Amino acid sequence: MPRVLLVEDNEMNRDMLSRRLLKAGYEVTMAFDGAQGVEMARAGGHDIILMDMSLPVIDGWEATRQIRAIDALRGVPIIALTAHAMAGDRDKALEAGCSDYDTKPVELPRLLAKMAALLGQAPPA
Amino acid sequence: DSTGTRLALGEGAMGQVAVSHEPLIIPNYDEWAGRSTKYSDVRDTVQAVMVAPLLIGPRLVGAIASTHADPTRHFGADDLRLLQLFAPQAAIAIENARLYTAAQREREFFGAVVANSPVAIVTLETDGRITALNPAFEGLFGYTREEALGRDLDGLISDERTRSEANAYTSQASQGAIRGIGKRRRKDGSLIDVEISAVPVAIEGRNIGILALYHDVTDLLEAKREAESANQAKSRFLANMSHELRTPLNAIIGYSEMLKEDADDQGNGAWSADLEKIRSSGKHLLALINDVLDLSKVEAGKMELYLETFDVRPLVEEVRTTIQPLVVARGNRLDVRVAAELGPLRADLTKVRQMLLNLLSNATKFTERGSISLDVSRTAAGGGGHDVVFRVTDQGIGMTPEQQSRIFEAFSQAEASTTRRFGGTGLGLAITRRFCEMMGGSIDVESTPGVGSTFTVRLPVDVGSAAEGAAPVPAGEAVTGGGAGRVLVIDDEAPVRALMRRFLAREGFSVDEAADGAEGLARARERRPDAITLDVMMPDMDGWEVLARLKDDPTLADIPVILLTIVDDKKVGYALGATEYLTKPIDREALRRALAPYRHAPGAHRLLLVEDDPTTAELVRRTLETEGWTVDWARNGREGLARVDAAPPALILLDLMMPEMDGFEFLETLRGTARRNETPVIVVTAKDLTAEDHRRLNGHVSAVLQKGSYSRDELLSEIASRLGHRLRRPASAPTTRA
Repeated sequence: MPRVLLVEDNEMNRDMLSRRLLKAGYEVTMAFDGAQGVEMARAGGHDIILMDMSLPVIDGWEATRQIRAIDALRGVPIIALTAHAMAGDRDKALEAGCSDYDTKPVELPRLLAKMAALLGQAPPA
Repeated sequence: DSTGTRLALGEGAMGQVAVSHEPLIIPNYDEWAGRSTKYSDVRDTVQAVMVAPLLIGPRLVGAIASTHADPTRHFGADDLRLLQLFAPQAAIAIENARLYTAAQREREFFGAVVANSPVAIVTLETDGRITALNPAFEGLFGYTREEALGRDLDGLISDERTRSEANAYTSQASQGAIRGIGKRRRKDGSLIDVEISAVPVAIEGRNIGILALYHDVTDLLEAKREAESANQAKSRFLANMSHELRTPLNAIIGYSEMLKEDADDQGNGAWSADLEKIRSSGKHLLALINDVLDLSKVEAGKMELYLETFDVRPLVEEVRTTIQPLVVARGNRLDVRVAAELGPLRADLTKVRQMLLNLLSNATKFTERGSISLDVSRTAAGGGGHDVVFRVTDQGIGMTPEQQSRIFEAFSQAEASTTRRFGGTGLGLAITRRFCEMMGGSIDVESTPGVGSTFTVRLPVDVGSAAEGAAPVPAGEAVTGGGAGRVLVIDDEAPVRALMRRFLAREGFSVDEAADGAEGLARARERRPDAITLDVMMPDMDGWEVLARLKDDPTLADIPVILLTIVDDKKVGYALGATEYLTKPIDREALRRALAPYRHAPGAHRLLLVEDDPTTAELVRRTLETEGWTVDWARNGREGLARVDAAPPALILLDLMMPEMDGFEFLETLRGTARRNETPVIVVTAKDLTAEDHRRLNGHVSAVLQKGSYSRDELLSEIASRLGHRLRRPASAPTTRA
């Protein structure tokens, strides 16, 4: 089962997304802020990371940059979850080192498809 | 005693002379028919009267009369001649007296105007010494007349920081009118913001002095800053509200979705149906909130355009995919036709997508088991440019002309019942039209009730420079202009902008202009120039604020910025801070990149770091030493100057905010007449300059580029050489987009 690290500060968003990811067949670990996200990523064991961009302590951009600076994690795709689909945010996410981005509110089939694509798998049915 | 008697013209002897302008002799006044009745009984005192007019040229200024009481005596020709010899002198004397009185009154009047004026007025010799001042000046600056007269104006009311700027005003004012806003110092040392207006005073073509007016605008500027921060608060409110409203709503939608899936899995149809109602109501509410917030943003002037060049075809495909389920659900068919020779579109992609989705969702909403089409084509537009035309046609219920006239207004679907029947927020078209207009385009509708409707959206092919009618830029390529590069000139004075444009164009640069900081930032984002020239002394957002914002924006931070301002006419200086600014905390990569051009010069191994914070200094030193630099470290400007003399570096890294002597003073001294040191300087500035810092920095004008007419060429060659230095390097412009 692929393992996903979900970095999201909002409790309800975390709850909803993690439950649906579990249902879709992922093993889910969660971090509650940017610093914790980096720590847990560093601890390793994840195949993919979902990063909310607006986080406390350090924000998603900075957390992504820090994760990208860790050699061991170079191969782990990161999907930025942004509240706005503005082109500026898109570029910012990609420049910070994200492999892809998705908008909130999350549309599960779309997000699952993106995740599957990055993991080199067929999208879930 | 008849002094003060008023006579009408023609009345009495003097009255008649006043009319005739001819002398008159009356031998026996008492018996004379024309005698005035105003005089009291004069039988005993006046026998004969002789009157002559007082003339200056043809103009009468009075009359003079001589009388005697001797009945045996007559006024004769000799007497008249004598009187007429005397008359002109008397006329001149009277006239001079009158002129003098009038001049006195006028002098008193204007003196009162100046004295009572609420505007501070001061007159100066051409060398700047005060010759006169009014009470308002005393009140504004706190100096009494005695303290101020004879003093040098700039020495009196400006301090070291504003001195050069003030001197520049004075020297400019000796040649022509000048206006501006600046800081001056009162006697008690406090600083005030003033509006300054100065003109030369000329008499018969020769300048004899200077007139300067000062108007206290401290309150005005304060009010303006407050208005601006209120405005920013409004923006933040809109941004926060958006987040606050969407978050709980997303929870409602998400959980109901999940529970519905669970209910479906368990075969619980009743719960599934109820949960679907909650979910779809939530989604509807979300759409409503999104639309309301969009519209509020547009109304508040807070909606920004983010322009990019993109291919229309993939966008249309994406939109088709998104709308397809809705189309199918209504039993409709969607045909999409995109013309072959479309070329790329430069516009706000997100907004174009939103508009297309709005039009298509309307089309499918109001049509059942019919056909909908989207046609995209390109036409010539007025003024030599081209438009991209999006046409959405449906076979829906259509609209009457009356309904058509209202549909672009907020919250008025064709009729209230349609909202209930067909759903939607009633805001989509209002937003679509606003977006169209923001991008310089248009939207029209044609419709027949019962048959269908066609909506046509027209957008200029290049939204950013529709006015210029620029040729469309191939997607993915950087937007560059004239061969040498694109320069954005930010300056509030139109003549300066025109000058820069002419010069830079001659050098092969293509030039964009902006008249103030806000416009400059917008234009920089839009056009991504290769370099920016920035006037420091601008009334609204000063150059420092613009610079800080440029460096704050990761998409703009890499653009080299050259700061310009005015200076006194004795110094020829350099662009302040040269071509690089680094922000703190220092990014090592940025530092390496900034220094790269200087590495290859021969002997370029010694670098002077002027920085008061030991931690920062240590970081920089270590980074640079691994690159092969020898790093000298000075803790402040004073030490820095000493080190420059002791061990001349190839390059100086300069912190701005240091104790003892700050970066500005350092630079001013370095570039000043004593040293004329030309070592390149890279300035390092903390990201968050406080308002106080800005005020202080803004008041301090140090080594700068001159705007005086006689060193225009020197000024411009400085700029060009620095721009050339930057622009002729192999392009590494930050234009990549994913």
